[in-house]
Amino acid sequence: MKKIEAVIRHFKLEDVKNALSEQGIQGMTITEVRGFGRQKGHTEMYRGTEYAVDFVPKVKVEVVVANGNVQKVIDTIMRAGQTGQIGDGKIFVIGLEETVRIRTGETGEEAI
Amino acid sequence: MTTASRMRTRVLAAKERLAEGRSLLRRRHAEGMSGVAAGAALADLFDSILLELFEAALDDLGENGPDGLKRELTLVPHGGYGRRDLAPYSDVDLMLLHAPGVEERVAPLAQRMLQDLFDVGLAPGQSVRTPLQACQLARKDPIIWTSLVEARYLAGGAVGFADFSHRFQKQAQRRTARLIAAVEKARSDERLQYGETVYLLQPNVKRSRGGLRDIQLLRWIGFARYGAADPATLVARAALPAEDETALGRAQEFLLRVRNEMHFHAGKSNDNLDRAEQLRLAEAFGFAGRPGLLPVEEFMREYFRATEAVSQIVKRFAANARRGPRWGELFAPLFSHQYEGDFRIGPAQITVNPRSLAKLCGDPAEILRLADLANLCDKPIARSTCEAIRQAVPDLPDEITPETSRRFISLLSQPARLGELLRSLHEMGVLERIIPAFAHARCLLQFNEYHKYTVDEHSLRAVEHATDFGRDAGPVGFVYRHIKRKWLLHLALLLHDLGKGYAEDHSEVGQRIARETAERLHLSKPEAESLEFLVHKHLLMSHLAFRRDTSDDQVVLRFAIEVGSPELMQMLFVLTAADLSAVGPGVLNAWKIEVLADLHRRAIEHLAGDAPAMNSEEFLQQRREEVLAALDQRQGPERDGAQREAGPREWFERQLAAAPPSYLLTTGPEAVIEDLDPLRALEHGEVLTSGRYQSETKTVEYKVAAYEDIVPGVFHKLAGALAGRGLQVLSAEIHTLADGLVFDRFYVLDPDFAAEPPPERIDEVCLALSAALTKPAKPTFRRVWRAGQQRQATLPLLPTRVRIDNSTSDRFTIIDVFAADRTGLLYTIARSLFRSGLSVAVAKIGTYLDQVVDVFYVTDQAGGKIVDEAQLGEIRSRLHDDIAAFEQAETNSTRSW
Repeated sequence: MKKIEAVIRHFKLEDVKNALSEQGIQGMTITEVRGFGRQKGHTEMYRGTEYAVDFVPKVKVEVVVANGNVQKVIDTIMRAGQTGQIGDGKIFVIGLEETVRIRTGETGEEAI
Repeated sequence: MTTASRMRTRVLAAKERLAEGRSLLRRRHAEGMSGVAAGAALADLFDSILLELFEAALDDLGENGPDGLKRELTLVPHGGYGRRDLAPYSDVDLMLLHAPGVEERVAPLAQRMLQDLFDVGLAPGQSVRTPLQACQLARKDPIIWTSLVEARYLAGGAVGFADFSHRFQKQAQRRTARLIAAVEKARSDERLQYGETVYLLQPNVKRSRGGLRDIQLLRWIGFARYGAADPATLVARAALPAEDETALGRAQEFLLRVRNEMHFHAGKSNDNLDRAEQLRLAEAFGFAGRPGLLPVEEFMREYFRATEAVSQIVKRFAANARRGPRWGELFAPLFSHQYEGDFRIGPAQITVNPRSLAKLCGDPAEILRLADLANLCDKPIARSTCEAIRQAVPDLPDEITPETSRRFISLLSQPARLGELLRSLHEMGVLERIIPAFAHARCLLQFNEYHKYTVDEHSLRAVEHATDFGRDAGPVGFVYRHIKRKWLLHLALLLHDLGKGYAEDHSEVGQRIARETAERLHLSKPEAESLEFLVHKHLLMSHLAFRRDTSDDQVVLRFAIEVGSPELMQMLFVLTAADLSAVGPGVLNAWKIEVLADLHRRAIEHLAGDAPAMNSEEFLQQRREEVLAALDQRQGPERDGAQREAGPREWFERQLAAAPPSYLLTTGPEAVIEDLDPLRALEHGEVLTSGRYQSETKTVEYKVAAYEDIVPGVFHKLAGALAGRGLQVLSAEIHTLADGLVFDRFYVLDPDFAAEPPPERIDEVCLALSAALTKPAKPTFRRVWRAGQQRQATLPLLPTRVRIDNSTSDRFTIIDVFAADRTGLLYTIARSLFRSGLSVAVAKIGTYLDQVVDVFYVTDQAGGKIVDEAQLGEIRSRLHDDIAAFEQAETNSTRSW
């Protein structure tokens, strides 16, 4: 099992969500976040004056998947979340020890 | 030995009877038995079981003889059981009331009864008290008191019960006011815990506002104040209007049936009407829904109508009961003053003079005058006045007079108590007489995981959240405070979701409702258009901000063009934020505000340049001081401080004070000095020009300075000169400085030169600019066939549009022109404005591929804003005509090639 965390452009959320649903991903967690990477908190040209914006609004998507699905989910997020410009975001893959469904007590991949 | 065989046979028999009785009732409930009748039948069933167990216990303990406990002890059901409106799995509240001195004999019986009741499967809440103890406990604890209000005699010695009743009544009479306050407080604490608004979408049938508990509250207050709990008796004692009793009965019946169904289905006590239950009940009660309205939404609308009725009736009843001897009212005239003869403004509330009440109740305009006054004075309207209005509402005339409309708009323009007053108007039924579509939204549920409130509640909350932005330190508050016609925004918020609950898209229906409302309220055509736009497009901004790539300038531009005016853009921004925040707690967060504010800032830049409202005076002042500091530094080394010439600094201060914010914000201190310093020596009648190639943008910047008295219409003559040289104006800024000094900057593309134009070309253009002002002549435009110049139609060519905004700037009328770009267009527009007698103080020309968005800040020749509707109409139609004629001429000449 892996947890896939993707920090994406906020307006790409609909696309990414739909694409993941089409791939049979049933659940995800969404958080509204701020951050910067290479986009460096874009300095905006506002009528010739530079406005430094420290953090850019982004959306973080968290999905837990079985090992066999990791590549598929990464590809899907890449495809749906890409604009090709700086600031498209990043995908992190994190190893996961255990998952428990609280209602039933199921564990492991059963609980995903 | 099994548990069952340990039980006595009579307990087992009772257990069976209870089960049979419940399942019989369940069948009858399913067949449509009334909720009230089911409650009474259950109470009868419990009664018979209790009597049976009581007799058995007395027999077994040897207390059933003539000297037995039966004379000293009374079975007293209270609470819901006493009231006989039990739900199938309600608790059984039972008091064993006994004479003093028999405690030791009562104890074994009480223990036995408690055990038997448990074994039978009832949930007993049992107490053992003497009449005096019961009254003392009730005195200390309002919850016990309320439960004992419902006490009734079931079995045993009648004398003891009579003693208790007498003491209890006496106590209530002595402590009326304190009791009312205590039970109201206990109830409001409970409501806070279970949902304060009626329209909470997953209510508790018993405890949320307007639930069964509020009907009980009316009974308790009735008992404390009028000595009777029963609504029918309260009607007889003139404490409750008969129609309220009928409405209350209807609501109670509905709520009880809902609760019975929930209990029977769960097989246990369950009062939480969650989403799953709502869906199930809608089907169980046979709600079919209709286009645009799900069965569950129809069911919940019934539910909310019931709870709303309960909430209102009880609120009125409690307010009347609370007023004891009316000392406050006796002295009120001393602390209050008359207003316009009809109203009396007191320290705490506004009342209507009795003689004026009839006039008030017959005329919506008068009701709104009262509401408007309440808003201005920031005081609530007296309950008695509200009550009189509520009763008069069905007889109000249907037509909205211009006076009514004027009052309504006046009310909407003051944020102070607006939300609360609109809510009162809604509760009194006045709002839907003004906006008929509001009736449909009443109690309309939106069955999704997103909305927390019904449509009417959401709309009222949206207005409240908007007015709250008045105190907000963030960007939304900043923009809200600068909106001049707040009434239009507030009205749009009231209307924005009224199109819900129909088959068609709610924005489309909403647009029609907005149109009808505008007509009904006698709004002018531009006002009506703005209102329609805001309602129709109320989702546009959040849709773009959260779903589209707003870093793409085309998206922002298209949005700006669609909205069309800075004022509408500001309203749409606040409307979007208020709409989101009225969806539910926490929906509008700092993250969303940031995303929306970013889009707003970038879009309004297209429409207003830098709208004066957008710049903080502090920041501008800082900029001016930086320029002056740079100036001092520049002069410092050359001259001794004491001999420093006072002239330039003074001159600069004057010019900087007059310079438009957009110029100061976008130009560095050194550049400002470079720009302005040469102007000091400029004489009247002279023209100063310069041109410079900017390699990074591949444009040429031309600067022109002159005194505006050099020739009328400086701007359009310059625009003509540039067009005459075949230059494409990408952007232009006109700055009118102090002393009538005009300083213009043009950023142009020179299609004749792919790279930097030679100096001779720049000189040629400078000469042409100069000549345009000193030797004016009508320009002629070259028409050149240029290979490879194809229209990149990424934007659809929109028809020419002209929007006039008088609200965003205090000093200027802002005119936005949207058109397809052609060489000479700017000249045509500028000349048209000139011919309309307008003076252009600031202009921002934006060319985006072949779409032009031009913003002009204009005044009339006297320097004032243009407010006359007829004159504005002329300006608009002249612009349309001139641009059309220009395009026509160009098309013709192209064809002749």
